[in-house]
Amino acid sequence: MLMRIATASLWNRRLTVLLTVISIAVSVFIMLGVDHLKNELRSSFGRTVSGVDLIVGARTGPTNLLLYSVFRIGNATNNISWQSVQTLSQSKEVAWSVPISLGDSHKGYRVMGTTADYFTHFKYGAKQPLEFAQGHRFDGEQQVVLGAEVASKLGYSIGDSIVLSHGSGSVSFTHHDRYPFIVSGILAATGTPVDQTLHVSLGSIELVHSSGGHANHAEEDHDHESTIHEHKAHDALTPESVTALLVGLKSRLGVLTFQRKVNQFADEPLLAILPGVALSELWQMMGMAERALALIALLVLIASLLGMTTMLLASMKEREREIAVLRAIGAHANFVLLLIELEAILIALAGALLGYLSLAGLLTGLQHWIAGRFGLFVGGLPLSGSTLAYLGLIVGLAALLALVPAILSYRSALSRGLSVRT
Amino acid sequence: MQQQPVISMQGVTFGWEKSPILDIPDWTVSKGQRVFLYGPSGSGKSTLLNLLSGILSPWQGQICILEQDLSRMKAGARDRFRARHLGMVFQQFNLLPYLSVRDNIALAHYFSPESNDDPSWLRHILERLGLTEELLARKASDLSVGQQQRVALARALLNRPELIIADEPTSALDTELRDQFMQLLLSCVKETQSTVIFVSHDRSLAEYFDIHQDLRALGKAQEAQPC
Repeated sequence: MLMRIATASLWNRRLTVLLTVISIAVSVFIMLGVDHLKNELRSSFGRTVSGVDLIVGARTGPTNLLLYSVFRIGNATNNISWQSVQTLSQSKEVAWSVPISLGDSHKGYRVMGTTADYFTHFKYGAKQPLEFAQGHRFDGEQQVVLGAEVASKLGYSIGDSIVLSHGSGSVSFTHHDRYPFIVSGILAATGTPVDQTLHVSLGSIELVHSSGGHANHAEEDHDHESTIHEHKAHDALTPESVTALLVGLKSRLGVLTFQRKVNQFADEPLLAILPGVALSELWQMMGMAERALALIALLVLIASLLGMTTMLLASMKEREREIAVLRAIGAHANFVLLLIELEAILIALAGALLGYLSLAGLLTGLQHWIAGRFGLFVGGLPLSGSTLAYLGLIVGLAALLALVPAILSYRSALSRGLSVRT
Repeated sequence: MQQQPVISMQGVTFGWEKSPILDIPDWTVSKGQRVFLYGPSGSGKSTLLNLLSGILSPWQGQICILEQDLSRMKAGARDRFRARHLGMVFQQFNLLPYLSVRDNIALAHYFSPESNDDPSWLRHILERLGLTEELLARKASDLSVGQQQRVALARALLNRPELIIADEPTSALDTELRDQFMQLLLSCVKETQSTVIFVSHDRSLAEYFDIHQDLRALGKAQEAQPC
């Protein structure tokens, strides 16, 4: 009967109740959304690189190395010499190694020089290899493999010609326009920075820099045939240095030993990082922003719950008669208290449910759009322990705040009697 | 049969603020009596009903209903006692407007689960008061005032209470409906053999009652500021 009275009473004030439910739903939406996005970002970042045991770069901060080598954020201050790369690659612990070279760009997208092995060894997510949506790997110089987003955003397809620019800005004054590249392949979307990268061979990077902007070789004289010939020769050409080296070990057990070996490398100062460890350090840095967002979400929630309390308080006057009727029939003052508490809990539950469902629905609906737009893979919203804890917290807070009108009603039910003061 | 007191008040005083507005040294109502209680507004009629129903407790004195001392009961016990033994009808707003008529009547049973659930009695009073199935399904707020008062009476009678307290139940009704309501009330309480305390300022209703009681004559009841 208590339930029936509560639901009938709420239905009777359905417009106000609906608005209150919506305001709670919005705050639940924000709160769960922030929390979920945080978790998904974390796992999305975590998925960016897998199967790589160590990343080796010139000595810098671990986060810095991780950011520029994997996320293409920022620039390397120093490179590793090719000699060190060779030495490390030939260590007995190393199963495979892939050098990468950054520094050029194309319309704001980073260009990465690497070897064809990159497409074999680089993994993302749950050790998923890179797959080609179209075409194939670059085969020698002047071929480029595009990330999914680069191809779709810039509208390139196989066979198109692309000119790279020096530096990483979207506006560059130095264009390597003497050496156009032909699109040889387009990768399938991964939801990682790979989608935003143009992949060329290390040799191409060398070639472009030696002949383009810097023009050391003064190749202007060469005719077309000899240029091609020259390219063949450049295939064997080795770069002086690279930005970083991705390393896979034969046994993961040796990771820490090998990391120490790299860090103590005698020939030049190097730094080896474990991607997972560096990621968690990165998250510690992001913790502040995360907490700020969580705090804002909590404040929004409190605001909407205060709104609910206000609504309940505002309805107290008109409810005096109801309370008098209930008391006259024999309801204890507790009944009045419970009735108002139950109404608050029902409102909060409905709001929490609505917020949860709309967030879950939106995430499911927009999953592809987010992945395509921001390169982030945001999974659906599971009804996990932490989600349930949040929903429980919301209902609990609602019940707590509703104590204000509930106790006021209780006291007036006890002291005022059956007469309604007008 | 006339000997058993249903209401017995001894040395009762009560007031909202410092000065008492009710001071009843001695008042007794016997079983089956129908009392017409009158007095000007502000003379403490509503306050007296609150005391009789156990919702308010007096400053001093003893109130016994059906030979049970209300002041010795705990609040919860007083509420259950009220649900079981008292039926109340007010001037207006007797019902929860958003509940159906059926649920409004069922409330009386909900708060007094120990009283017998007698479907034939329920059917009888519904029929007696002209509450049809169609009416029962409607929301209380959709009823006319006359219909609402009949629903309130049905609810008050559901548990066959020993004492029925009516506070100006007819003042919102026109003459015709008023007479109809009085007839129904009196014939129903005849069946339940309930004692009736009927409060009204309308002296023309006094003819329906055996005992006419001026509230001011009950004791040194004082003029209180109207609230």
